[in-house]
Amino acid sequence: MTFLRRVLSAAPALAVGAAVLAVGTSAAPSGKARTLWQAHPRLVARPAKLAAAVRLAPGDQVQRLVELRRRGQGQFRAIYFVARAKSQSPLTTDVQNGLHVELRSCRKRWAPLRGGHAYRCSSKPALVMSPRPVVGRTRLMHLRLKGQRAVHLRLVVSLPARAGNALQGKTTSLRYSFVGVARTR
Amino acid sequence: MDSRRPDAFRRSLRRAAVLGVAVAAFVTTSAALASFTSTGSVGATYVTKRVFLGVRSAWPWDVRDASGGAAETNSSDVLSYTDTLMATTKSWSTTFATTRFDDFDFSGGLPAGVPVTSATFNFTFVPSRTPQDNACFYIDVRRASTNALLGTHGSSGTPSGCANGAQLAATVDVSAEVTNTDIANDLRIRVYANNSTSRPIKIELATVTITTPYATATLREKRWDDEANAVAAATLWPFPATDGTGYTTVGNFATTFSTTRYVKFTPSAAVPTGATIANAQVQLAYKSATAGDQTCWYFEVYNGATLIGTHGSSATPVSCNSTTSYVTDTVSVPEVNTSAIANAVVLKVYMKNSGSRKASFDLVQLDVNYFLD
Repeated sequence: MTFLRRVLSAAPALAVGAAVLAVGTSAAPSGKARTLWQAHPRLVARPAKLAAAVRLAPGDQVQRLVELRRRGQGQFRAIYFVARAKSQSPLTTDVQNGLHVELRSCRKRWAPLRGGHAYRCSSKPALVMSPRPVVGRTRLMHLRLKGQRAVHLRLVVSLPARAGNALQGKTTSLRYSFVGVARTR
Repeated sequence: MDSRRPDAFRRSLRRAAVLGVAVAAFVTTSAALASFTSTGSVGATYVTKRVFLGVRSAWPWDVRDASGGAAETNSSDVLSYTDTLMATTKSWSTTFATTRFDDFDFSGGLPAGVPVTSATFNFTFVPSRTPQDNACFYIDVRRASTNALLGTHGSSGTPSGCANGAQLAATVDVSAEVTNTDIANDLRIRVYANNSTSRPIKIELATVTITTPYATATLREKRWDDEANAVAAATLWPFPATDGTGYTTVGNFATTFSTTRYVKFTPSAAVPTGATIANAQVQLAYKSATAGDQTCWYFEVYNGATLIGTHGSSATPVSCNSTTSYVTDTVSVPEVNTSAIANAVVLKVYMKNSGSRKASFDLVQLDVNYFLD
């Protein structure tokens, strides 16, 4: 009787503990538990490196294409665009006159215009991120990552026409990150 | 008593176990949920042009005047070239004084915002009486627009240089103050001097050599304020501005154009090698030296000694001016399309005057609109 009472009294605590542990364990990404990891979505951006843009002058725009894909199972609750500069440059620290960035998406691949320096969308492109100073973090809008299909993004980096001579002869290297936050189940 | 103690112990143990499991589960879950993000990254590099598109002006300090139709007279700025033509200052005192100085304000014309790798003040002078006298100098580096002091080189106790009975060609490194072209375009050098017998000095050269990563330029004075006797006396070089200070030809023009009657201007441009020139133009302000006369002009553009363009002609001048005021003409010079040409341009201005008299110039300016990739 005493033994039975002891077991019963510990049961609720063990049950709660076991349940919480189960949730935690199933949620945790693990290198060994490959099947569990693949149950969560992964974000893949291509290409890994964009062609360098040189000889920029005030008023110039540079267009580059990025493909974004979702791999694995599950959905993203939100996707953020994060840009960081590898070193200090007035091109990135001067938020008024420095580089600005904008993102638009197209349902189909962007088609190069004559000269290959600009691209057009055969349908109406969606504004995914309004123009902003290049370095920062913004939640992307109207981004439809369905199935394994790629999202075709056009990244436009511009140097404002008002950019002054302080921005002559400057270089900056940036890392653009698309950060997907997975929807929890 | 004995039976209650183990129960309390077991209860505590149970609570501790539950708490421990809960904390462990919370930590594991939090960590797991926090890592539910995935990142795709892309690298990119951006480089701006070394010099943005913009108009940079150049003015002539080398002027050869053949208005009279005979040999050219060298009317160049005496302070800007080592050519035996000298400017004589007013009289200095035997000791330095902060109220006794000569200010030299220099021409701009360099693309703004470019770092300067070296800047040197070139000062060649001699006491007015040699070999008996000695003269020494030291300098301030200042902003021309505000007269703000940027730095001092030498002192009354340790001058930057002394000309002891003979000419001295001194150079003073002013790189510490002239760190970019914004400063170079707004530069004043203040020279403090003395003379062992309180006499003037004669200045052969007062220029600044500016080196940037892209070009080397010579800045020449556009305003010389001789306050050797502590009294201001400013002289403006006439061509860099439309300011009413003009240059009147040494001779008289004829009533008809003649290829032997001209004034030759050599602008002092410093366009970087490899620069792309979008366009170029000449601005020239002129009038008759005598009221009631009409003066007309046309001009030729030379690349060094090679004729590359003619604007107007003896039959169709660029313009004529019958007024007593300066008239400014702006003429496009598309033949100035490389940095090599821009840096070697010579403008040969032909004139005629209805009264067979002199003409006056105010502004003579070469504008070059360029960028450097």
